[in-house]
Amino acid sequence: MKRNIFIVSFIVVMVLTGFFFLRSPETPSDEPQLASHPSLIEDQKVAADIQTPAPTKVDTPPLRSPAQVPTVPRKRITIEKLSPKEIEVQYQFNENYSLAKDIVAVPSKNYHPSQGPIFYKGIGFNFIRSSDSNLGQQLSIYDSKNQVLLPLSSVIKIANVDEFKRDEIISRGYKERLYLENLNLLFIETKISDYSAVFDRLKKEGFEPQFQIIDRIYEPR
Amino acid sequence: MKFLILLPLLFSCIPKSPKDTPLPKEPLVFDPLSAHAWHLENTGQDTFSDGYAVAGEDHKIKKVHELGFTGKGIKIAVSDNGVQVNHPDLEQNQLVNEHRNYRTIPPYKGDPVPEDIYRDSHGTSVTGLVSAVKGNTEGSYGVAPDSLFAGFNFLSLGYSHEIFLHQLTGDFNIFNYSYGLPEHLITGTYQSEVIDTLKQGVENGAVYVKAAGNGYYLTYEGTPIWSNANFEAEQTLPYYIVVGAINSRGIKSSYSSPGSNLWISGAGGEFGTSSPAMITTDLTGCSYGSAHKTTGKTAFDKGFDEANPYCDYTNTMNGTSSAAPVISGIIALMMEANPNLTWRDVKHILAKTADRVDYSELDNNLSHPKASFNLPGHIYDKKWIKNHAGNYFSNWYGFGRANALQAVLMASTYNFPLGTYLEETFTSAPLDLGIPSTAVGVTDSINVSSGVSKVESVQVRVNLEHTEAGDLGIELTSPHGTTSKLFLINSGAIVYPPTNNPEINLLSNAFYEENPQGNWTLKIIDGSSDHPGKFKGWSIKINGH
Repeated sequence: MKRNIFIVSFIVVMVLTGFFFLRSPETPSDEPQLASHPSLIEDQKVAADIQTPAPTKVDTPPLRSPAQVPTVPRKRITIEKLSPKEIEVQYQFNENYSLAKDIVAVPSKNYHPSQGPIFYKGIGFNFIRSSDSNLGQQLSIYDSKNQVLLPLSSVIKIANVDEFKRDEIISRGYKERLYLENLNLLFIETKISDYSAVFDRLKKEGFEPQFQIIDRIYEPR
Repeated sequence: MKFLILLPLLFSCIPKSPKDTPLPKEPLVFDPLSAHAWHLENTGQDTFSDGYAVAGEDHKIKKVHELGFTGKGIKIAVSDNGVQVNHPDLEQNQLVNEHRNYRTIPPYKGDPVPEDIYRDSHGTSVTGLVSAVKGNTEGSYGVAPDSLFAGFNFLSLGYSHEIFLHQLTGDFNIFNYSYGLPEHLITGTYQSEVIDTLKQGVENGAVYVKAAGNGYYLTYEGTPIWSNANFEAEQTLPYYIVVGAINSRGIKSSYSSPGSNLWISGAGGEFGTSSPAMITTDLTGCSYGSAHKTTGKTAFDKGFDEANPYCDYTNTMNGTSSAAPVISGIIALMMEANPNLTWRDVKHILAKTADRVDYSELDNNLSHPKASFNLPGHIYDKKWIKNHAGNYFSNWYGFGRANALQAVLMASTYNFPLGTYLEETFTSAPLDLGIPSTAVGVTDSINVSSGVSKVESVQVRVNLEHTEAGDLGIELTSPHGTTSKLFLINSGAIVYPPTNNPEINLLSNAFYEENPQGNWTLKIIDGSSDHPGKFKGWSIKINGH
């Protein structure tokens, strides 16, 4: 009996001693309240990596809660429903200009050869062909004679333009660059320095102008 | 043998690891990394870098929290490259139904997942600086730790004008934009739709906060460029509060772009290696974001420091991207103190309460960083100027470093002194003046007779004929003799889209509260004689009350 009491007392002392050394500080301090034993930290790091294994799917974020997994489709819906090939074939609008689809402007510093060959080198941007539906599906005007992709900030796209409206717009002195009959889209050209004014005028005249700019890419700062 | 039955119970009392320890409740109301957040309270900490902050050089944010202002209920949109909204230090403050995923269809509701989930941590770090939760034992906390945020993944896809406009709209008190166009470009023109959308936003009570840029010095294809916050045309709209970055020693961050369109400065730090950057949230896990087990730039970011074992936080976030959310957070504190503040009131209070840092009368003239790019007899820039209304202004700092304590105190007792807002434009006759490469330059004046009696900002539109507009210096002098440098000579920047007839929009806040009546004079200097050009005309827009 005495032996048992001794053993129990011994265990209680050991437990209390262990608790004393392992307990956290009772008052806040500037030091983070995390384990200080290097091997324990290493274990936690391993645990952290196990907790967030390298994902195999690109659209799986490092989430902790399954409820946050996005359910929306990643593919952007655009108004142009025709395939790039169909459009390119249908809308060759003169011998020099063609409508280029799936052109993506990649900031030069972010460009990597694995993204594909450079179609046109702009200032600060490399233009590449891309089949990525998130990035592509944008219309560009390509001057094949001079082998340049025209700066699209000088092009204004006007939506919902039928043949009648088209004639009306041109008769007001705007220079037509391209008309897409099936899509009811008219592209007009204007001087870069006054495109805001042209845009404002078109809006006041009751049209639906939109700028076509794909070489404007905002970056985190 | 009965004691054996008690053994499991006894051993169950032994804590397995400190993380599992049921700690007393009181000490847990503490965010362990907040002691390293020098922008909240600068105690001279190193923030896990090899250098030290200078005690006292901060925004007095902790003092505002002690007064009980924490941005409670203020709604902030963080339009960035996506946000990990379930980050343990952010999840509680998210506006679950207000996030936007711009990779889906209108109205773009959804999780603002970054495009590159391995690397795109920027938006998560920005969000942490403004809205990270306080008192949850996780990481640090935001400047407005009870504010509510919505994340937009606007930067995660190629530019779309429609989406650009969309992310300027919504039922939010504050929009934070820690992004911008590449700093080596002069994108002189903005679109009228942007103005309309921003005007509508501010009329609805929104405040727009924008990062000035990190282009104090950069190289583009081997060419040195000294950028300016005025180069990005949209930043020359008065509806934005353009924010420069300041470091933990109380001086301009080495990278922060100067500009007469700056309004205020916020903590951005340096790089987190040899001197402190910012402590904030990062994508969780050591395989994601800036805090990464192999690509992390510091031991802290690699998860080697016991303070960051899961790599959920970073100590290398910096830039005007950091300064902007710090200012957004301070504005949230002000708006909690006085919910009736408009964008103009917010700007006024920030300007009137800012700390004039890095000021010395003896060391006020600045030279071009490259000595050979200076022009004889021409002062490149001045660190601080004092305008005729008595306000100090700096192209490096705007009105100075935001003082959250003074701003909140002023907001609390604010009596709304600003009159009806007016914008009036005056245009020169067509000009055809050569621009000499001398300190004298070429000048033209416009006489202003305006209904505005106190200037809030001045916008200038300049028409040029020049192949290298990046060589030019442009200065505006008010009727009272205050001169603001809008464009600094020999920046090396490139006009985009390329044109030899650029139209450049600029803004200056340097004339704040001056009376605008009289002659305003624009002076243009060519920093190089290599490319002659012409001054073709200009207009000035006086904004104020």
